[in-house]
Amino acid sequence: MIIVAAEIFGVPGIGRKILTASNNLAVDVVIAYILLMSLVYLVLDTGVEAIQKRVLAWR
Amino acid sequence: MSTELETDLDTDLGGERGGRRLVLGAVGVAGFVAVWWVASLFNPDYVLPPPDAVARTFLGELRSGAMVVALAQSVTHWLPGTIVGTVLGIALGVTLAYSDLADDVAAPIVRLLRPIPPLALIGFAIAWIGINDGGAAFIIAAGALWINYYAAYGGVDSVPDEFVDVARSLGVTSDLELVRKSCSPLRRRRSSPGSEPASGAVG
Repeated sequence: MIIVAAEIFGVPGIGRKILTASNNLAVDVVIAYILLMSLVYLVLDTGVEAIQKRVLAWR
Repeated sequence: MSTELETDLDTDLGGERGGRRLVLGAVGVAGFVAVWWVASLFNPDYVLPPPDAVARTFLGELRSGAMVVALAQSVTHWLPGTIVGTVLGIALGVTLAYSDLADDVAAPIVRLLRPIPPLALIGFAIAWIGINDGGAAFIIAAGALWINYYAAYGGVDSVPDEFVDVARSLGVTSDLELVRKSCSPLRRRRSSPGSEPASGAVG
């Protein structure tokens, strides 16, 4: 969400790609990059969870 | 106790319950794609493209390298923004929760700044830093800061006074040592979940 917000003003990245594709009505590209963000989140979430299980094993 | 342990092991090791969850999850995903596909039949591509068209576009973008480039560009400002926001948020949360004086001084400012959405900071980012990775990192840091601040604040604030008294009576004298030995292990119980939504919010 914030990635998209941060790239509204012209900095290149995933958010910028989504905004440009949205302006061009290329909804398939928009959804493809939304899926990419979901995949990145999935990887991060799994990573953080694995770290938590190791570091906070007592929990 | 043993029941909890068995349930955890069952889930973690992919037992019967874990396998059932995987199957039900797959059914849920398949159902979602089916509904999407049916809905796409009644809409033009520029409103809702079918799942197979999106899959083709996804693979095309991936193969052309455009997706990897965009991801790398985002990581360039996402990573420093998240690190700065997380470190500052935890430091601020621990400080204000530990020190009543700091809390009293900063509470009105925190209440004033907290409701400002990161999107509203774009103007400041452009004016102060410019249209570059630094500006984007600033906005991301602002988003990650408050999540971690409230998680750390809540964690330290919930440490019972008795624990602090015990630490003091056992010879802990400096504030830093008290935070490290008494508050920190308990704080992590609450503050670590902050890093998850923080990464999610920006990811």
